[in-house]
Amino acid sequence: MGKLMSVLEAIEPIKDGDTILVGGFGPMGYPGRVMRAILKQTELKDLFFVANAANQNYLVALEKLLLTRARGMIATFTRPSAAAEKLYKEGKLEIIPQGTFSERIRAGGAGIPAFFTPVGFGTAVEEGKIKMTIDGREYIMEKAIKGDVAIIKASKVDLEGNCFMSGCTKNFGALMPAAAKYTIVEAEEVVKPGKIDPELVTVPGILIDAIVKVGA
Amino acid sequence: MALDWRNFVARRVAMLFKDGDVVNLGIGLPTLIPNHIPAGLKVTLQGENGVLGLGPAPPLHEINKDVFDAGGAWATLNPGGSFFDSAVSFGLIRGGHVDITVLGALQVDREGNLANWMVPGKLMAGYGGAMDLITCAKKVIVAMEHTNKGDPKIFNKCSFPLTGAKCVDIIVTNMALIEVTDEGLVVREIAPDTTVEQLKAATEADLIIPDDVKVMTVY
Repeated sequence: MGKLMSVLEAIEPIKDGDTILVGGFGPMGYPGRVMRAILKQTELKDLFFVANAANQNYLVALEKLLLTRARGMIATFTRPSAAAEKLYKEGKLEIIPQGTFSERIRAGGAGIPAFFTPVGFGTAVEEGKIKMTIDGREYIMEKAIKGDVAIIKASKVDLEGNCFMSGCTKNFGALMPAAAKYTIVEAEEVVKPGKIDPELVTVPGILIDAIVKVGA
Repeated sequence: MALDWRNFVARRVAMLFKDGDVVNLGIGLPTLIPNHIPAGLKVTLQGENGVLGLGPAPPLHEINKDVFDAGGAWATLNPGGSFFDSAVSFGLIRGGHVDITVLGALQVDREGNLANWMVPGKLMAGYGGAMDLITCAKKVIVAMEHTNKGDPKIFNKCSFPLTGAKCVDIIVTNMALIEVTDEGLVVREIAPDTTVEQLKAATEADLIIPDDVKVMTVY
Protein backbone atom coordinates (compact mmCIF):
# COMPACT_ATOMS: atom_id res chain seq x y z
CA MET A 1 0.00 0.00 0.00
CA GLY A 2 1.24 3.47 -0.77
CA LYS A 3 1.82 6.11 1.88
CA LEU A 4 -0.86 8.49 0.58
CA MET A 5 -4.11 7.80 2.46
CA SER A 6 -7.18 9.34 4.02
CA VAL A 7 -6.84 11.06 7.36
CA LEU A 8 -8.87 8.26 9.01
CA GLU A 9 -6.58 5.59 7.60
CA ALA A 10 -3.57 7.61 8.72
CA ILE A 11 -4.67 7.94 12.35
CA GLU A 12 -6.02 4.37 12.64
CA PRO A 13 -2.77 2.92 14.15
CA ILE A 14 -2.78 5.43 17.06
CA LYS A 15 -3.66 3.76 20.38
CA ASP A 16 -4.87 4.87 23.80
CA GLY A 17 -1.91 5.93 25.94
CA ASP A 18 0.36 6.77 23.00
CA THR A 19 2.99 9.50 23.19
CA ILE A 20 2.38 11.88 20.29
CA LEU A 21 4.93 14.42 19.05
CA VAL A 22 3.22 17.38 17.37
CA GLY A 23 5.13 19.72 15.05
CA GLY A 24 4.76 23.48 14.81
CA PHE A 25 5.95 26.78 16.21
CA GLY A 26 2.60 28.32 17.11
CA PRO A 27 0.33 27.73 14.11
CA MET A 28 3.26 27.58 11.68
CA GLY A 29 4.02 23.96 10.86
CA TYR A 30 1.18 22.72 13.10
CA PRO A 31 -0.71 19.80 11.53
CA GLY A 32 -4.21 21.10 12.21
CA ARG A 33 -6.16 18.75 9.92
CA VAL A 34 -4.82 15.53 11.46
CA MET A 35 -5.18 16.93 14.99
CA ARG A 36 -8.82 17.82 14.31
CA ALA A 37 -9.45 14.28 13.07
CA ILE A 38 -8.02 12.81 16.28
CA LEU A 39 -10.27 15.12 18.29
CA LYS A 40 -13.49 14.66 16.31
CA GLN A 41 -13.25 11.23 14.74
CA THR A 42 -11.64 9.12 17.47
CA GLU A 43 -12.17 8.51 21.16
CA LEU A 44 -8.46 8.09 21.84
CA LYS A 45 -7.57 8.84 25.46
CA ASP A 46 -4.70 8.92 27.96
CA LEU A 47 -2.55 10.55 25.29
CA PHE A 48 0.78 12.15 26.15
CA PHE A 49 1.66 15.13 23.99
CA VAL A 50 5.10 16.51 23.18
CA ALA A 51 4.62 19.90 21.51
CA ASN A 52 6.48 23.19 21.71
CA ALA A 53 3.42 25.10 22.79
CA ALA A 54 -0.16 24.92 23.95
CA ASN A 55 -2.34 27.82 22.83
CA GLN A 56 -6.10 27.96 23.15
CA ASN A 57 -6.41 30.50 20.32
CA TYR A 58 -4.21 28.98 17.63
CA LEU A 59 -3.89 25.27 18.47
CA VAL A 60 -7.53 24.52 19.14
CA ALA A 61 -7.72 20.74 18.60
CA LEU A 62 -4.59 20.22 20.71
CA GLU A 63 -6.11 22.42 23.43
CA LYS A 64 -9.30 20.35 23.54
CA LEU A 65 -7.40 17.07 23.56
CA LEU A 66 -5.20 18.37 26.41
CA LEU A 67 -8.28 19.36 28.37
CA THR A 68 -10.02 16.00 28.41
CA ARG A 69 -7.99 13.23 26.82
CA ALA A 70 -4.38 13.77 27.85
CA ARG A 71 -2.37 12.18 30.65
CA GLY A 72 0.39 14.74 30.32
CA MET A 73 2.48 17.05 28.19
CA ILE A 74 6.01 18.26 27.62
CA ALA A 75 6.16 21.83 26.25
CA THR A 76 8.24 25.01 26.36
CA PHE A 77 5.63 27.79 26.27
CA THR A 78 1.95 27.48 27.18
CA ARG A 79 0.29 30.87 27.23
CA PRO A 80 -2.57 31.32 26.86
CA SER A 81 -3.87 27.81 27.52
CA ALA A 82 -6.47 26.86 30.12
CA ALA A 83 -5.68 23.19 29.43
CA ALA A 84 -1.99 23.68 30.14
CA GLU A 85 -2.78 25.56 33.36
CA LYS A 86 -4.96 22.65 34.46
CA LEU A 87 -2.28 20.07 33.62
CA TYR A 88 0.35 22.20 35.39
CA LYS A 89 -1.72 22.33 38.59
CA GLU A 90 -2.15 18.55 38.40
CA GLY A 91 1.60 18.08 38.04
CA LYS A 92 1.17 16.65 34.53
CA LEU A 93 2.89 19.39 32.53
CA GLU A 94 6.66 19.42 32.19
CA ILE A 95 7.92 22.84 31.05
CA ILE A 96 11.42 22.67 29.59
CA PRO A 97 13.72 25.08 27.74
CA GLN A 98 13.15 25.15 23.98
CA GLY A 99 16.70 24.25 23.04
CA THR A 100 16.59 21.30 25.41
CA PHE A 101 13.21 20.35 23.92
CA SER A 102 14.66 20.40 20.39
CA GLU A 103 17.81 18.51 21.31
CA ARG A 104 15.97 15.86 23.34
CA ILE A 105 13.84 15.09 20.28
CA ARG A 106 16.82 15.20 17.92
CA ALA A 107 18.71 12.86 20.24
CA GLY A 108 15.71 10.53 20.42
CA GLY A 109 15.80 10.14 16.66
CA ALA A 110 19.57 9.93 16.40
CA GLY A 111 20.31 7.10 18.82
CA ILE A 112 21.69 9.36 21.55
CA PRO A 113 20.12 8.35 24.89
CA ALA A 114 21.13 11.50 26.80
CA PHE A 115 23.38 14.56 26.63
CA PHE A 116 24.76 17.29 28.87
CA THR A 117 23.70 20.94 28.57
CA PRO A 118 24.44 24.02 30.69
CA VAL A 119 20.88 25.29 30.15
CA GLY A 120 18.77 25.14 33.30
CA PHE A 121 21.66 24.82 35.74
CA GLY A 122 20.80 26.79 38.89
CA THR A 123 17.07 26.79 38.09
CA ALA A 124 14.13 24.45 38.73
CA VAL A 125 15.04 22.62 35.52
CA GLU A 126 18.01 20.94 37.23
CA GLU A 127 15.89 19.25 39.91
CA GLY A 128 16.33 15.49 40.01
CA LYS A 129 18.87 15.44 37.19
CA ILE A 130 22.43 14.14 37.07
CA LYS A 131 24.96 16.99 37.17
CA MET A 132 28.52 17.00 35.95
CA THR A 133 31.36 19.49 35.72
CA ILE A 134 33.14 19.19 32.38
CA ASP A 135 36.23 21.32 31.70
CA GLY A 136 35.22 23.66 34.52
CA ARG A 137 31.62 24.32 33.44
CA GLU A 138 28.56 22.83 35.13
CA TYR A 139 26.07 20.81 33.12
CA ILE A 140 22.91 18.82 33.66
CA MET A 141 22.02 15.57 31.92
CA GLU A 142 18.94 15.55 29.73
CA LYS A 143 17.42 12.37 28.33
CA ALA A 144 16.23 11.83 24.77
CA ILE A 145 12.53 11.98 23.94
CA LYS A 146 10.95 9.26 21.83
CA GLY A 147 7.34 8.97 20.75
CA ASP A 148 4.94 6.38 19.46
CA VAL A 149 3.61 8.79 16.86
CA ALA A 150 4.81 12.01 15.21
CA ILE A 151 2.35 14.30 13.43
CA ILE A 152 3.90 17.01 11.29
CA LYS A 153 3.15 19.40 8.45
CA ALA A 154 5.23 19.89 5.30
CA SER A 155 5.00 22.46 2.54
CA LYS A 156 5.39 19.72 -0.05
CA VAL A 157 5.76 15.93 0.14
CA ASP A 158 6.41 13.31 -2.55
CA LEU A 159 4.83 9.86 -2.61
CA GLU A 160 7.99 8.35 -1.09
CA GLY A 161 7.45 10.67 1.90
CA ASN A 162 10.30 13.08 1.18
CA CYS A 163 9.30 16.37 2.80
CA PHE A 164 10.18 19.94 1.94
CA MET A 165 9.45 22.41 4.72
CA SER A 166 9.63 26.04 3.68
CA GLY A 167 11.17 28.91 5.65
CA CYS A 168 10.61 28.85 9.39
CA THR A 169 8.11 25.97 9.27
CA LYS A 170 10.86 23.35 9.69
CA ASN A 171 11.10 24.05 13.42
CA PHE A 172 10.31 20.86 15.39
CA GLY A 173 8.53 18.92 12.64
CA ALA A 174 11.85 18.32 10.92
CA LEU A 175 13.16 16.56 14.05
CA MET A 176 10.15 14.55 15.16
CA PRO A 177 9.81 11.83 12.49
CA ALA A 178 13.10 10.14 13.43
CA ALA A 179 12.09 10.12 17.11
CA ALA A 180 8.75 8.34 16.54
CA LYS A 181 7.79 4.80 15.52
CA TYR A 182 5.05 6.04 13.19
CA THR A 183 4.86 9.40 11.43
CA ILE A 184 1.97 11.14 9.69
CA VAL A 185 2.71 14.15 7.51
CA GLU A 186 0.03 16.48 6.21
CA ALA A 187 0.71 18.72 3.23
CA GLU A 188 -1.21 20.87 0.79
CA GLU A 189 1.00 19.74 -2.07
CA VAL A 190 1.65 16.05 -2.77
CA VAL A 191 3.86 15.28 -5.79
CA LYS A 192 5.40 12.32 -7.60
CA PRO A 193 8.84 11.08 -6.51
CA GLY A 194 11.53 13.15 -8.19
CA LYS A 195 9.44 16.31 -8.18
CA ILE A 196 11.15 17.62 -5.05
CA ASP A 197 14.79 18.53 -5.66
CA PRO A 198 16.72 15.93 -3.58
CA GLU A 199 19.00 18.77 -2.41
CA LEU A 200 15.99 20.44 -0.80
CA VAL A 201 14.57 17.49 1.13
CA THR A 202 14.08 18.50 4.79
CA VAL A 203 13.00 15.03 6.02
CA PRO A 204 14.00 11.83 4.18
CA GLY A 205 11.02 9.78 3.04
CA ILE A 206 11.97 6.57 4.89
CA LEU A 207 10.91 8.30 8.11
CA ILE A 208 7.36 8.95 6.87
CA ASP A 209 4.62 6.32 7.13
CA ALA A 210 1.45 8.16 6.15
CA ILE A 211 0.78 11.14 3.89
CA VAL A 212 -2.44 13.13 4.18
CA LYS A 213 -3.26 15.69 1.50
CA VAL A 214 -5.08 18.68 2.94
CA GLY A 215 -6.86 21.67 1.43
CA ALA A 216 -5.16 25.03 1.20
CA MET B 1 11.97 64.92 18.40
CA ALA B 2 11.95 63.39 21.85
CA LEU B 3 11.69 59.62 22.00
CA ASP B 4 9.14 57.89 24.20
CA TRP B 5 10.78 55.83 26.93
CA ARG B 6 10.49 52.54 25.03
CA ASN B 7 12.28 53.88 21.98
CA PHE B 8 14.81 55.64 24.23
CA VAL B 9 15.70 52.28 25.81
CA ALA B 10 15.65 50.52 22.43
CA ARG B 11 18.04 53.08 20.94
CA ARG B 12 20.44 52.93 23.88
CA VAL B 13 20.54 49.14 23.55
CA ALA B 14 21.14 49.37 19.79
CA MET B 15 24.15 51.62 20.55
CA LEU B 16 25.73 48.66 22.40
CA PHE B 17 25.87 46.57 19.21
CA LYS B 18 29.11 46.19 17.29
CA ASP B 19 29.66 45.61 13.61
CA GLY B 20 29.24 41.92 12.83
CA ASP B 21 27.21 41.02 15.91
CA VAL B 22 24.66 38.21 15.75
CA VAL B 23 21.74 39.31 17.94
CA ASN B 24 18.59 37.62 19.19
CA LEU B 25 15.76 39.92 20.26
CA GLY B 26 12.99 38.84 22.64
CA ILE B 27 9.34 39.82 22.40
CA GLY B 28 7.97 43.17 23.57
CA LEU B 29 10.27 46.18 23.86
CA PRO B 30 13.25 44.48 22.14
CA THR B 31 11.25 44.26 18.90
CA LEU B 32 11.65 48.08 18.62
CA ILE B 33 15.44 47.79 18.51
CA PRO B 34 15.88 47.09 14.76
CA ASN B 35 14.50 50.57 14.00
CA HIS B 36 17.42 52.07 15.95
CA ILE B 37 20.38 50.10 14.58
CA PRO B 38 22.61 52.68 12.83
CA ALA B 39 22.80 52.44 9.05
CA GLY B 40 26.08 50.90 8.00
CA LEU B 41 26.39 48.72 11.12
CA LYS B 42 26.08 45.07 10.08
CA VAL B 43 23.97 43.29 12.70
CA THR B 44 22.50 39.88 11.88
CA LEU B 45 19.24 39.14 13.68
CA GLN B 46 18.54 35.54 14.68
CA GLY B 47 15.12 34.09 15.43
CA GLU B 48 15.24 30.93 17.50
CA ASN B 49 12.37 29.62 15.41
CA GLY B 50 14.95 28.85 12.72
CA VAL B 51 16.16 31.94 10.92
CA LEU B 52 19.24 34.15 10.56
CA GLY B 53 19.09 37.50 8.77
CA LEU B 54 15.62 38.69 9.80
CA GLY B 55 14.59 41.88 8.05
CA PRO B 56 11.78 44.36 8.69
CA ALA B 57 8.10 43.41 8.79
CA PRO B 58 6.64 43.10 5.28
CA PRO B 59 3.79 45.18 3.86
CA LEU B 60 0.51 43.23 4.11
CA HIS B 61 0.41 42.30 0.41
CA GLU B 62 3.92 40.84 0.54
CA ILE B 63 3.54 38.48 3.51
CA ASN B 64 5.22 35.10 3.10
CA LYS B 65 3.38 32.90 5.63
CA ASP B 66 6.51 30.78 6.15
CA VAL B 67 8.68 33.70 7.31
CA PHE B 68 8.09 34.96 10.84
CA ASP B 69 9.99 35.87 13.98
CA ALA B 70 10.06 34.09 17.32
CA GLY B 71 7.17 36.22 18.55
CA GLY B 72 5.09 34.88 15.66
CA ALA B 73 5.07 38.22 13.79
CA TRP B 74 5.46 38.24 9.99
CA ALA B 75 8.99 39.06 8.95
CA THR B 76 11.25 39.24 5.92
CA LEU B 77 14.61 37.70 5.18
CA ASN B 78 17.53 39.95 4.26
CA PRO B 79 19.78 38.91 1.37
CA GLY B 80 22.27 36.40 2.79
CA GLY B 81 19.81 35.10 5.37
CA SER B 82 19.05 31.44 5.98
CA PHE B 83 16.48 29.02 7.41
CA PHE B 84 17.06 25.91 9.52
CA ASP B 85 15.31 23.62 11.99
CA SER B 86 15.09 24.20 15.75
CA ALA B 87 17.92 21.79 16.63
CA VAL B 88 20.31 23.76 14.40
CA SER B 89 18.89 27.02 15.71
CA PHE B 90 19.50 26.12 19.33
CA GLY B 91 22.83 24.57 18.39
CA LEU B 92 23.79 28.06 17.22
CA ILE B 93 22.61 29.47 20.53
CA ARG B 94 24.02 26.78 22.85
CA GLY B 95 27.24 26.67 20.86
CA GLY B 96 27.95 30.32 21.63
CA HIS B 97 27.43 31.63 18.09
CA VAL B 98 24.94 34.29 19.17
CA ASP B 99 26.77 37.37 20.46
CA ILE B 100 23.96 39.25 22.19
CA THR B 101 20.47 38.46 23.41
CA VAL B 102 18.12 41.24 24.52
CA LEU B 103 15.01 40.39 26.51
CA GLY B 104 12.58 41.67 29.09
CA ALA B 105 12.34 40.57 32.71
CA LEU B 106 9.89 40.36 35.57
CA GLN B 107 12.77 40.48 38.07
CA VAL B 108 16.55 40.87 37.88
CA ASP B 109 18.93 40.79 40.83
CA ARG B 110 22.40 41.97 41.80
CA GLU B 111 23.96 38.61 40.95
CA GLY B 112 22.57 38.80 37.43
CA ASN B 113 19.84 36.24 38.08
CA LEU B 114 16.81 36.71 35.84
CA ALA B 115 13.17 35.68 36.28
CA ASN B 116 10.69 36.08 33.44
CA TRP B 117 8.72 32.86 33.02
CA MET B 118 6.20 32.80 35.85
CA VAL B 119 4.59 34.75 38.67
CA PRO B 120 3.89 32.20 41.43
CA GLY B 121 0.17 31.64 41.86
CA LYS B 122 -0.71 34.01 39.04
CA LEU B 123 0.88 33.43 35.69
CA MET B 124 2.71 30.53 34.10
CA ALA B 125 4.03 31.25 30.62
CA GLY B 126 6.94 28.86 30.16
CA TYR B 127 10.56 29.35 29.19
CA GLY B 128 10.27 29.32 25.42
CA GLY B 129 13.80 29.87 24.14
CA ALA B 130 14.76 32.41 26.81
CA MET B 131 16.57 29.99 29.11
CA ASP B 132 18.86 28.72 26.34
CA LEU B 133 19.53 32.26 25.14
CA ILE B 134 20.46 33.78 28.49
CA THR B 135 22.59 30.81 29.48
CA CYS B 136 24.56 30.64 26.25
CA ALA B 137 24.62 33.99 24.44
CA LYS B 138 27.93 35.79 24.93
CA LYS B 139 26.22 38.93 26.28
CA VAL B 140 22.80 39.18 27.93
CA ILE B 141 21.07 42.56 27.98
CA VAL B 142 17.82 43.12 29.87
CA ALA B 143 15.74 45.94 28.36
CA MET B 144 12.71 46.93 30.40
CA GLU B 145 10.78 49.61 32.26
CA HIS B 146 12.62 50.24 35.53
CA THR B 147 9.56 49.49 37.67
CA ASN B 148 6.28 47.63 37.32
CA LYS B 149 3.78 50.47 37.92
CA GLY B 150 6.11 51.88 40.57
CA ASP B 151 7.05 48.53 42.14
CA PRO B 152 10.75 47.68 41.85
CA LYS B 153 11.90 44.98 39.42
CA ILE B 154 15.61 45.08 40.32
CA PHE B 155 16.28 43.27 43.60
CA ASN B 156 19.09 42.06 45.81
CA LYS B 157 17.62 38.61 45.29
CA CYS B 158 14.89 37.46 42.87
CA SER B 159 11.86 35.92 44.59
CA PHE B 160 10.25 34.46 41.45
CA PRO B 161 11.53 31.16 40.01
CA LEU B 162 14.62 31.84 37.89
CA THR B 163 14.88 31.61 34.13
CA GLY B 164 18.66 31.86 34.39
CA ALA B 165 21.27 32.03 37.13
CA LYS B 166 24.03 34.65 37.08
CA CYS B 167 23.51 35.37 33.41
CA VAL B 168 22.65 39.07 32.97
CA ASP B 169 25.46 41.43 31.91
CA ILE B 170 23.70 44.77 31.39
CA ILE B 171 20.32 46.21 32.41
CA VAL B 172 18.97 49.12 30.35
CA THR B 173 15.83 50.87 31.62
CA ASN B 174 14.09 54.21 31.24
CA MET B 175 16.02 55.37 34.34
CA ALA B 176 19.53 53.94 34.02
CA LEU B 177 22.10 51.71 32.38
CA ILE B 178 23.40 49.28 34.96
CA GLU B 179 26.26 46.81 34.65
CA VAL B 180 26.21 43.55 36.61
CA THR B 181 29.68 43.02 38.11
CA ASP B 182 31.26 40.70 40.69
CA GLU B 183 31.05 43.62 43.13
CA GLY B 184 27.33 44.20 42.47
CA LEU B 185 25.18 46.46 40.32
CA VAL B 186 27.19 49.40 39.00
CA VAL B 187 25.21 52.33 37.59
CA ARG B 188 27.08 53.51 34.49
CA GLU B 189 24.50 55.99 33.21
CA ILE B 190 21.45 57.78 34.61
CA ALA B 191 18.66 59.06 32.35
CA PRO B 192 18.56 62.85 31.93
CA ASP B 193 15.19 63.23 33.68
CA THR B 194 16.11 60.96 36.63
CA THR B 195 17.83 61.88 39.90
CA VAL B 196 20.00 59.53 41.97
CA GLU B 197 17.35 59.64 44.70
CA GLN B 198 14.58 58.66 42.28
CA LEU B 199 16.72 55.82 40.93
CA LYS B 200 17.47 54.47 44.40
CA ALA B 201 13.80 54.74 45.40
CA ALA B 202 12.74 52.76 42.32
CA THR B 203 15.31 50.01 42.91
CA GLU B 204 15.20 47.45 45.71
CA ALA B 205 18.77 46.30 45.08
CA ASP B 206 21.82 48.08 46.49
CA LEU B 207 23.39 50.17 43.75
CA ILE B 208 27.01 51.18 43.30
CA ILE B 209 27.06 54.70 41.84
CA PRO B 210 30.60 55.69 40.82
CA ASP B 211 31.72 59.31 40.79
CA ASP B 212 32.08 59.22 37.02
CA VAL B 213 28.48 58.08 36.35
CA LYS B 214 27.35 59.51 33.01
CA VAL B 215 24.11 60.96 31.74
CA MET B 216 22.35 58.39 29.55
CA THR B 217 22.20 59.89 26.08
CA VAL B 218 21.22 58.54 22.70
CA TYR B 219 22.14 59.79 19.26
